[in-house]
Amino acid sequence: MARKILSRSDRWFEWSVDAFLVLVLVITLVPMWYVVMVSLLPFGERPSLWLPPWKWSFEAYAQLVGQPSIWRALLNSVILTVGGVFISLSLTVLAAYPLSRRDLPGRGLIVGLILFTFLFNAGLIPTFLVVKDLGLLNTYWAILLNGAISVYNLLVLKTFFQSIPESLEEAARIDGASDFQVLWHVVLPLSKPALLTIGLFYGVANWNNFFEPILFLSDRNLMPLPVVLRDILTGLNVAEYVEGSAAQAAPAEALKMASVVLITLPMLLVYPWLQRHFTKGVLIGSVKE
Amino acid sequence: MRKGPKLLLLAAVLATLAAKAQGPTELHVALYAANPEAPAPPPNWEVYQILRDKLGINLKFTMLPTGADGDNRLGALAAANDLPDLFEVRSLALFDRLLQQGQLAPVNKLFPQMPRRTQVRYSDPRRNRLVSVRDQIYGLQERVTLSRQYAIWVRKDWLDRLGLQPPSTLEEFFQVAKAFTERDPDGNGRNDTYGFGGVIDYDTAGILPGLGLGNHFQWVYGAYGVAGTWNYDPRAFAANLRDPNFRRATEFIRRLVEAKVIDPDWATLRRADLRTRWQQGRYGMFFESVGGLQAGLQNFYANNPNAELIMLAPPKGPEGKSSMGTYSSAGWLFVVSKRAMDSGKDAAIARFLEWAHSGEGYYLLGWGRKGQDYILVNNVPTVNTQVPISVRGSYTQMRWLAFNANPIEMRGRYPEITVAGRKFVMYQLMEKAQAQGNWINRTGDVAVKAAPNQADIERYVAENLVQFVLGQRPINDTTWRQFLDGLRNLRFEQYEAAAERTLREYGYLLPTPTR
Repeated sequence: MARKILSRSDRWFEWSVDAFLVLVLVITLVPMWYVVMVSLLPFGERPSLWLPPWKWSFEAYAQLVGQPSIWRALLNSVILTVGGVFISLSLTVLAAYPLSRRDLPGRGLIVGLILFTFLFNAGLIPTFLVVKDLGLLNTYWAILLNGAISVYNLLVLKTFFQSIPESLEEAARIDGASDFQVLWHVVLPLSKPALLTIGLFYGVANWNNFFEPILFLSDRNLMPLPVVLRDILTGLNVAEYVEGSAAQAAPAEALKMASVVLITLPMLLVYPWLQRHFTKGVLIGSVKE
Repeated sequence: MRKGPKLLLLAAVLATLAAKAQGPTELHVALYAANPEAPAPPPNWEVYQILRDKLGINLKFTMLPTGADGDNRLGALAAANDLPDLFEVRSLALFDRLLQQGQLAPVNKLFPQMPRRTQVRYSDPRRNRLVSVRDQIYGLQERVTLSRQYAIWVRKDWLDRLGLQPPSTLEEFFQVAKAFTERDPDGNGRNDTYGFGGVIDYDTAGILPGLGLGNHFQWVYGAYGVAGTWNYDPRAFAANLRDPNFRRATEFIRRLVEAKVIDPDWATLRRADLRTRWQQGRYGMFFESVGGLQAGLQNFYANNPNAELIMLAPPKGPEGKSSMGTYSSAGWLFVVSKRAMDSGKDAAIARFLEWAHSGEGYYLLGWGRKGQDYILVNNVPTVNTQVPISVRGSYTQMRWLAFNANPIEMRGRYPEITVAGRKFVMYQLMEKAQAQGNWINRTGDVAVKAAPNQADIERYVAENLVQFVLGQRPINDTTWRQFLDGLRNLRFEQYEAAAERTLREYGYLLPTPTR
């Protein structure tokens, strides 16, 4: 490929853009770097942006990972995240696809009703009553089904489906495909970027879910990682009550930051795999053509 | 034994036998986790079996989330008419709300069914009054078990190195703090120490925080005779912050801040951070509980092997007054849902609570598994610290139903320990902290209903005081008057008047007002 020859002013412009992006990168990375550095802080050291590797202490991680409840909590978080993504994505697709078809009778009314729930939330107590009356309290279903469809994600996906040329669907129908076959064999394969993006949105939301488990679950063995990590950190504050406890092997700052790293890490690992789809998916879903 | 108690005991035994004949009673108990970092008791916990076999109770125990999340959950359960049978309430605002909603049952009829527990814990009419409406008592108001355990601790090794004496007045405190900050007391050649470590903390075990900067600075207000929210003066009742001495105390804290003798991060630090820092050896003096000290000594001596700590009496103010702070004699509060009482579970609740009060139940709930979580040494339960709290804590999640702070219990919980070759008799330190702190009993505060805009009032006072002490706002007649005038916009006078009425009604002030 022939290399494009840039003028001096173009080069300056590109360099300044690069420099600005590097600056943005640094500003973004510094807090994350600080979190990692403090999580490795040994006793006797003060939190700082730079801690030489020979001073790194993994005590905070060891103390957190050494808690018997954390592995169970991790499993719970995985179940809630994977199950939540599967259920939410399935339901969102099944709602978004028909709503994206112009020939759906009452489409405007249905979208309006859905939008109403987006703008006016029922509130905590009615939600709790519904979950209770459905007999879902203290089960994973209370988390998985409550708010399984995000209206925002539904609208993004609906817009994306609308951007798929109708001629493709018509061709499939001429070949005798049913609605479901059109969705399965034509629409969904073309929607991978959007599905991955929405899946990531759901995944992050489920992974970070803190309030709903506290509200709907009473069995501590069902609690996900964020709740259990919070409880472990709370334990540091109750030395007045619990003899022989809270003997920290790591500074409180390190424990807090290590819990931040632990809770963030899985999503950070997943993100690069989805990134290229993510950008494309969000952009396409955001523009109505 | 007199005839009455005999009959009651007989009735209790007969009730137990009758209950067993009918099959176990389902009893749902919900408490805040005593050990938040530990899981719930396992399903095969021997307590479940014992309760089924001996008391005819099928116990379902759930742990409430800590803090406001627990209140939210109880609020949601109340809305769903699904409250547990017996549960703990830590927010008096929530207690009032549940009471108004008619969700709570009077507990009067439990008392004769659990005579031993009642005699030790619920026989103080003044404390019962705190949770009463007319003659009905709506809560099992325990006495406080672990209050007044806070103190200022001083690095005696630093005092000795600098040739100083423990401070006994505020002025001496300031001079010592200055020396600890500026004269390199640890001798490492670096300017890395501070005179005093304290944080803004309103949630400290057994101390009433009062309006202001929280508990860690009450000793300053105590030195000026204005610790706590109200002055309890029957002739001139008022909020302490109206007293000119409140301003003087605030000015003293500002002086500490301006002289940079307090850790500059103090206004944003949390209690756990403070603990880390004194254990690292950064502070010459710090505010800490005996329990917190016990938990941190190992780390402290690992970092500061030559250190020596002593407990300081609260420093005296200009008029010779001193107090480490205020406290309430009211401790944990357990309540019974109306639904439970209506469905005739009172006998099962009483049986369970009486069992938890002493003997087998007391040890199982309070101390865990004998031989594993604790052993008895000369009849004193001694915790096996080799078993991590994350494990043994599971078996003592219901300990607040059992503990009652008797001397043997305190010896077990705060034993004699040896750290880095030094002996610490923790229960003696606890007694010393309680005795020499000149603590002021302000139990009446618990009866004072929160103002409708309580959070706004608390935020207003705290924010203004923080601005004053951090130097973001000058302290002079004009600014202080502006601060007090601002309270009017929050209808503080109504709150104050309501507090006075309540305190008089409950007998904490003289009955006849003089103004």
